[in-house]
Amino acid sequence: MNVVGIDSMIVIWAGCVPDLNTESWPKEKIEKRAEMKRRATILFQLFARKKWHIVLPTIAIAELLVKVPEAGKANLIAAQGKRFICPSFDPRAAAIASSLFSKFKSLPADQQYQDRNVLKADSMIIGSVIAAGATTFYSHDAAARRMAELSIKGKDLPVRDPDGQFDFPDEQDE
Amino acid sequence: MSQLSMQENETKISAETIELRFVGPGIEPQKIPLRAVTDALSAIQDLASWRDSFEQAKVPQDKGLTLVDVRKGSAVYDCIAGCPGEAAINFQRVGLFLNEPDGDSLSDQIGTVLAPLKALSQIAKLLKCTLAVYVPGLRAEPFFKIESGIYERITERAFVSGETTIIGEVVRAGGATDVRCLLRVPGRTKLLYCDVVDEKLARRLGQCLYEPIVATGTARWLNRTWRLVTFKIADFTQPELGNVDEAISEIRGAGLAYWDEVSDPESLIRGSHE
Repeated sequence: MNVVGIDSMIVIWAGCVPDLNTESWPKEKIEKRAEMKRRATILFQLFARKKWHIVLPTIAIAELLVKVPEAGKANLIAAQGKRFICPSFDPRAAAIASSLFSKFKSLPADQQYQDRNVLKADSMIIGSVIAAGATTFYSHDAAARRMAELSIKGKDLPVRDPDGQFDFPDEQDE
Repeated sequence: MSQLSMQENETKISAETIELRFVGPGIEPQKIPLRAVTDALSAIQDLASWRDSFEQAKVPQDKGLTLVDVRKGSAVYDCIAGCPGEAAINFQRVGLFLNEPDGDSLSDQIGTVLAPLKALSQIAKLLKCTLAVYVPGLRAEPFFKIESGIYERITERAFVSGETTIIGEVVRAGGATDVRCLLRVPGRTKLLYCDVVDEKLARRLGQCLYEPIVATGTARWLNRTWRLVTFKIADFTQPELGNVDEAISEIRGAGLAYWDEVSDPESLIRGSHE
């Protein structure tokens, strides 16, 4: 049984529609959205194919709920719970998070988080992922991956399908 | 055999002998129930071999104890240890731990001693006596003594409880007297015996044999190692990503689509980022 953790951004990237409402956006943001959509989808295809169990902690779900109106929050929580393992921040996660927080604060300055609140949120998310038994944490954020690597594996989203089974049609001839 | 080698042999035999003494008023071998003797000797054998009951089902044969004599005064059980040196070191560790349960003498190995100490403490309570472990060839004083209630005293602060989520595969569910469930949990060598809140839930679990579940409930961990000691299942789910397109479409429909209008979601969630 393989258990892996993900951050909230992976769900956002996987769920976005690359060319929707983007007329007024800078070109690089449109391109990034399309690229991250592709990579997040490859990752989910990989998870589905390997039947891995995906941990998305409730603290990460809170981040996803930021843009959702009050009346819709419960729907999104329920939909995530159907597809992902959504552990709460439990006593063991608290202990792990505090250790990650302390260890990370002792890393060199150039490897630190720029925002203390993000450091705190990430330590709680990764603490929950580790407490749930995950052995790998996926995130596009380098600092989050560094934090995960203090205890488990930290991995970025794949650029290509490692099994060569999934690519968007316009990428297949590259 | 020369006199010197005879002495060496006697020393060896003596050093290999472990004594378990039941000390108390009116205690004699014939008054001690057989079950109490076997439980106590099993517990001493676990401590001598440093068996981790969470990971090892049995004491390795070469590290076991053999009962060789029973004597009066109050009641003395002489055993021969397979690995006497190791047994003496382990008894010394137990003694240090019992002298200072909050110290770091056992650190993350506290789980190894708790089960045998619980058994010995219960026997001491049942028989209203003190159990003492000696290795006469090495030391005149006992390596450690167990009195009634010692387990409760040392474990007052040894555990932490709380609600949690456990991912595992159902191996068995049900039970004639208590409703229980056996889970195979990733990263754990031995199967986890769980209590279940009611029969209805046990029946539901029974329908998920050999399937992965995400169980929520109350756990008790060893506070130094966060090793899971007990878990009572209150409920469970079986989330599954399934078809990716369907999953994403469903989550979008449930509210994720509100993120469509955000040009830089990373900045919104993570502030400035690399």
